[in-house]
Amino acid sequence: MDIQVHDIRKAFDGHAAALNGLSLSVTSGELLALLGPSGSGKTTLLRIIAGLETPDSGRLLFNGTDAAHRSVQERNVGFVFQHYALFRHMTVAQNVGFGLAARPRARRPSRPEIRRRSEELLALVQLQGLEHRYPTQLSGGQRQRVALARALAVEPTVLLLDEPFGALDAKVRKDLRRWLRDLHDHTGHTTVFVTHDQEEALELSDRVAIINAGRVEQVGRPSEVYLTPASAFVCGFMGACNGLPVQVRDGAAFLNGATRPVADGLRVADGPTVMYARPHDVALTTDDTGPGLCGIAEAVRVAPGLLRVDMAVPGLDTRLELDIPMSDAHWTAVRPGQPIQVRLTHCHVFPS
Amino acid sequence: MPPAAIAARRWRVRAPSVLPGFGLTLGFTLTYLTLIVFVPLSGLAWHSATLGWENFWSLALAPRTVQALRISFGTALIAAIVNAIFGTLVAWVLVRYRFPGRRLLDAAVDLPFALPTAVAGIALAALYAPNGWIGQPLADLGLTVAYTPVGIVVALVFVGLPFVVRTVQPVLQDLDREVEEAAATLGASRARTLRSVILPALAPALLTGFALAFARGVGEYGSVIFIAGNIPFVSEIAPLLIVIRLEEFNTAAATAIGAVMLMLSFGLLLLINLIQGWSRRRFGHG
Repeated sequence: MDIQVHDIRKAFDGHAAALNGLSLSVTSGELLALLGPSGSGKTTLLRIIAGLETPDSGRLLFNGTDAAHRSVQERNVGFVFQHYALFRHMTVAQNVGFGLAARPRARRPSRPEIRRRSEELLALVQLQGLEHRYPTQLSGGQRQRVALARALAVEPTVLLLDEPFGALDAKVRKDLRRWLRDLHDHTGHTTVFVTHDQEEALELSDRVAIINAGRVEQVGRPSEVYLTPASAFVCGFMGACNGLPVQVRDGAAFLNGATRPVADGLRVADGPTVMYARPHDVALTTDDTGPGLCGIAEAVRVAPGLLRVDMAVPGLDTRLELDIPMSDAHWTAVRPGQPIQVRLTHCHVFPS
Repeated sequence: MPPAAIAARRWRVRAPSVLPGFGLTLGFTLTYLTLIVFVPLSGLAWHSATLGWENFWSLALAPRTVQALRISFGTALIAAIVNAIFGTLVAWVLVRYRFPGRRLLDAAVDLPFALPTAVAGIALAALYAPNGWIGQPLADLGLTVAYTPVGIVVALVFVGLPFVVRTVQPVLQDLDREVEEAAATLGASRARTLRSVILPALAPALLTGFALAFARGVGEYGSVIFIAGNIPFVSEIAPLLIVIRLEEFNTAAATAIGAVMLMLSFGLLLLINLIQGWSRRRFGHG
């Protein structure tokens, strides 16, 4: 199902606006991540789509028809809560069958049919044999999968997941992530999930919508938002990012007081601006004629496959962070206190 | 392992714990309960034992006594059921809605605790008497409340209300809203959510409130005697009969009634506790 969110606004009593004229479209069958820091409004958006909150203004369309006035029950969405919200007094099978058993009599499947459906779904989420357990007897990952099976049981038009892996430990989270991706490919539900973990968003989704202060900053494929961020916020949020305040003259960027440009060939108007470069876009160099930076390696730490270096650069208040891959032949030469020379292989400049 | 060691292991009272003080607190609890509860009650049991078996049963099964017990337990049960339903409703309104005067109403719930029961009894009797504010219109409809078992139920509902409200309220407050939202997203109507999601969650607390209101109703004296009319075989409650027997210096009969009340109450409360334990386990607090 297609979902169109158009210029939605929502404010809670006594707080700054949670959503500030947010627009977004979700295409049928895709797995979309809503990524943003806490308090950015991403959960509010998810709840508005589900019908658990009412927007103050704006339009919400399901397959092109207005859905804003439909009740939660009528929307037929599958919602998975961060803390699972399982019914604790019901067994796993009863939890999964709840949506079917709660239908009005005319549309309610027979008991054996409900049991068959729950068993089928429990097999899908790989929880066969746990039908008669109570939620408190399950691990976090198992509970999450029960919640998912319960949401899928009503054959929802869209699956909404609020921080689905937020309360799980790293290993389980990684397994479930891959598993959810497979499940999505298998069932083909339109799925929207909220997360504050950029790695999760990048790994799992078809498209990522980055939300900040109640607005969409950028929507795109994971590689797009990572490689070509649309704003300084996206750049900083999608991973570590060095900010370099520079003066641009004729397409060349200079740090304060420097005569050698940091980068050249920029298509940016002259004047002060900030350049952004990720740690892995800063490389060691021996060429001292082209653009580049000289400084002192201050802290040097080993991480899997790379060397993390904090570099002090004259004219720069903060340390420059760089990741040197161990495939770089010169990495062993970098030691704390040593002068090093680097250049930027890639950088971003955003219109202010 | 020798059998003695297995037995010792099985009968070990306490599991190793990082929280110290088990011996001290258990000792205190036992001493305290002995002084406050067991000694007075065993006095009653002791006294009734001196009556002799046959004598005891002939006193306990006297028709007037049986009828008084039936009225006491019956009205207490009905009142506790009424309180369980409407007390939950009151708790629901107090927790779920915000309206002017809510705190005042919340405070008023405890008044039946604070008011001397005799005052409550006289007030209720005046209200429900055939010429009272409420009794008059009811009398016009052909209903009499005062001086009948219905009057007793009214008085017991009054004194028992806070028990249900105060036990259900905190549980309702802590109830996870997401669970209700989950039910709604699964297509459940409000009534369905109430029935299959909220009520089961409230059940243990509701049972506690019910048991407390019931126990209080069985033993209630002050508020009942004014409105009940105290007609033997019709609206005479067991506690009143005990007092009557005492005034006749018939301690033997008073003791017998007291002992029977004690046994019945203990049995019923134990039963409620067992049901509660079962529902708690089911609910995962086990």
